[in-house]
Amino acid sequence: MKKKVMKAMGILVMAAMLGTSLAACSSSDGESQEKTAENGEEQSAGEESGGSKKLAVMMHSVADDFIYCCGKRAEEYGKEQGYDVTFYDADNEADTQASQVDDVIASGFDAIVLAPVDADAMSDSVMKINDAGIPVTLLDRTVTEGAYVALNQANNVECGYEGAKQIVEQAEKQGIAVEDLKVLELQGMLSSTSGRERSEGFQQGAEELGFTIVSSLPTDWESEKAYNATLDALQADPDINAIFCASDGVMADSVINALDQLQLLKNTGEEGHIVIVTVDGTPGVIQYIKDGQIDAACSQPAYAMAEGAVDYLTKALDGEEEADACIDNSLNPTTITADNADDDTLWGNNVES
Amino acid sequence: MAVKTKTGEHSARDVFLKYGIYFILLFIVIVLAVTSPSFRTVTNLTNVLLQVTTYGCLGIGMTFVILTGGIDVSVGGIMVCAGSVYVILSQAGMAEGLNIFMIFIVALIFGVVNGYAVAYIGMPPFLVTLATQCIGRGMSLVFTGGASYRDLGATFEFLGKTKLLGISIQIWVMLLLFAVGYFLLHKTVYGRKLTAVGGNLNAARVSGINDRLITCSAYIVMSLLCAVAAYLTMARLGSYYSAMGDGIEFMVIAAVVIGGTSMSGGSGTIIGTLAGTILIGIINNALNLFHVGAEWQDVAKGAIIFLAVLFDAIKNKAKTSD
Repeated sequence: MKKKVMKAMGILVMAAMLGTSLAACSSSDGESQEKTAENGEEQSAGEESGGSKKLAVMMHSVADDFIYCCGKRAEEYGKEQGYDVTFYDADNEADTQASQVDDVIASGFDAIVLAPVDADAMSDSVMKINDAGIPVTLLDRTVTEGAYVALNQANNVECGYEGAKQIVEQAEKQGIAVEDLKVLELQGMLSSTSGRERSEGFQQGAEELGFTIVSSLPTDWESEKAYNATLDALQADPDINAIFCASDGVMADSVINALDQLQLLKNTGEEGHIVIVTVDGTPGVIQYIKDGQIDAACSQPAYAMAEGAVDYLTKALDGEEEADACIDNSLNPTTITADNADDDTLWGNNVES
Repeated sequence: MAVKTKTGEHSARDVFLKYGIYFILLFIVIVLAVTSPSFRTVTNLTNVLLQVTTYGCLGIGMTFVILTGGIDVSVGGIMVCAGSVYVILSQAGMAEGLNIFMIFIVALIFGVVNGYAVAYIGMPPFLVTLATQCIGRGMSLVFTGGASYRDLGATFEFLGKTKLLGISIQIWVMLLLFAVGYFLLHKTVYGRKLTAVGGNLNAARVSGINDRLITCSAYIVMSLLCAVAAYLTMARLGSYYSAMGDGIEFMVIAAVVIGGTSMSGGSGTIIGTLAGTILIGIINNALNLFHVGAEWQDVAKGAIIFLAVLFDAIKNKAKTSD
């Protein structure tokens, strides 16, 4: 008897946890719907761009500040433009995103902003969206098949290339000549498009500008791996005098802390300062640039990408663009240095903390 | 005569199976020390120990769980969920001490749920902890929206940057935990009961051991170590990030199994886990020191896990054939 009671209690506990997790899964849409309700007045004010048309903002993940800001900006800007916005997060799972797309098609949405989890895996879903006759714009990443109005992404090769240029420029300020540069490259995940392209751009830049990359180590976009790689690289090559981080969102804190651990953390201009240039331009890195610990960052055009994605949908709905135009709206990074770190058009200065 | 030779071979094999990990570790250390000048320095040794603090803490708890014949794949989920609760509470302006306490409370809730579901309801440990891992990771996103946070607080600064005798305090904490784990597992009645439950459940029951409570406790110990691991990781890296602990369970399980703990339960040591953890740390370290690229690093890590499981299988076969 006692056993049965215990068992029943246990099942109840599990059911409660399951309940919470389901709530967790749906909370992102719940939240945005609430917000939509709050913004009801704004919506009626935004009649001119399509009344309360239903827009789905479908993100591959919200796991770092950049993509989080990008998604939130698309949601916010969509509302400003008068859409009834629902926000989806696929948590980097292609299966999850595919079924979210099915749901969105079935629930009669008028337009979709899609940040695909994977170029191949999401092609089928994009073709389903095409069959349903719903205009879609891509955000952050592309797909291999299927039609879309426009692809709104950061030019990742350019982000890497600009990083190489900044390494040289910042090193000169530090009194290090190009030929004396010994650079550690902390790569992103090489199976992701952005990770691969940034590395390509950076290595191409290194070749053209003529500096040496002594070590290119993988971090898989993981802070802990970036920390470990920094310790190991400086152990193997103590004469490293510059570090390129393929993403500051996941690497800036760990690189700074690893240098601090090794007692190699010096401010810009000080003797022995290791030049650090990053890609992304998160609020954290802007602070480091202001504090003089990081030299420069290639800021992703998050706001322009998000707004572009929504604007191209509006154009498609208004008949100004074809739904299958497949426009390549690749946007170049903005360089952040101590000179312009306060600029409020940088996405990193527009994140609520 | 022939029989005698056979037992002779047997014991040599037994010795290798029992202490093989130490031979392998020693061999790899010697090879690396000879071939790489940057490997054989004190700084590098402390680098490796610092790099494995997370694996080490989790490995102690995982040894307890695997000894009972179970498995816990929820560790990364517990870490990130406990960390995210800390972050939102401190963003809300609550006191640091209380928030750190909450890291442990959140982890404890996960431990109790895992332990209860496995020990009292009889749910399969792999699936239970897979489910709680998803819940933990999901909840962390609910709390933080996936954003990362820095400037965590004074105690994080202290735990991340303080050195004792020239060695990071993180390493001392890990070694202290290994000492406590060693004492609990090998010097107390509780430790003997834990091993007995995983070794032969029926015999343990007959001898009056409350096997359910013992099994449940292993998951609770594991979860509390997840809290410590989250605290240390956030302090070391100077930030909370939403991918914290992602996929870490496999390397931790591999370290424990390489260290000689049997996946089927009932046999294993804390010292073995420490050796397995350091072995994995050294391999990761060497891959970076030798500038090995991303692709081969993954291959190497896959090979480590494969060898760990192979080793375990050979050992089990030896056990059953005896």
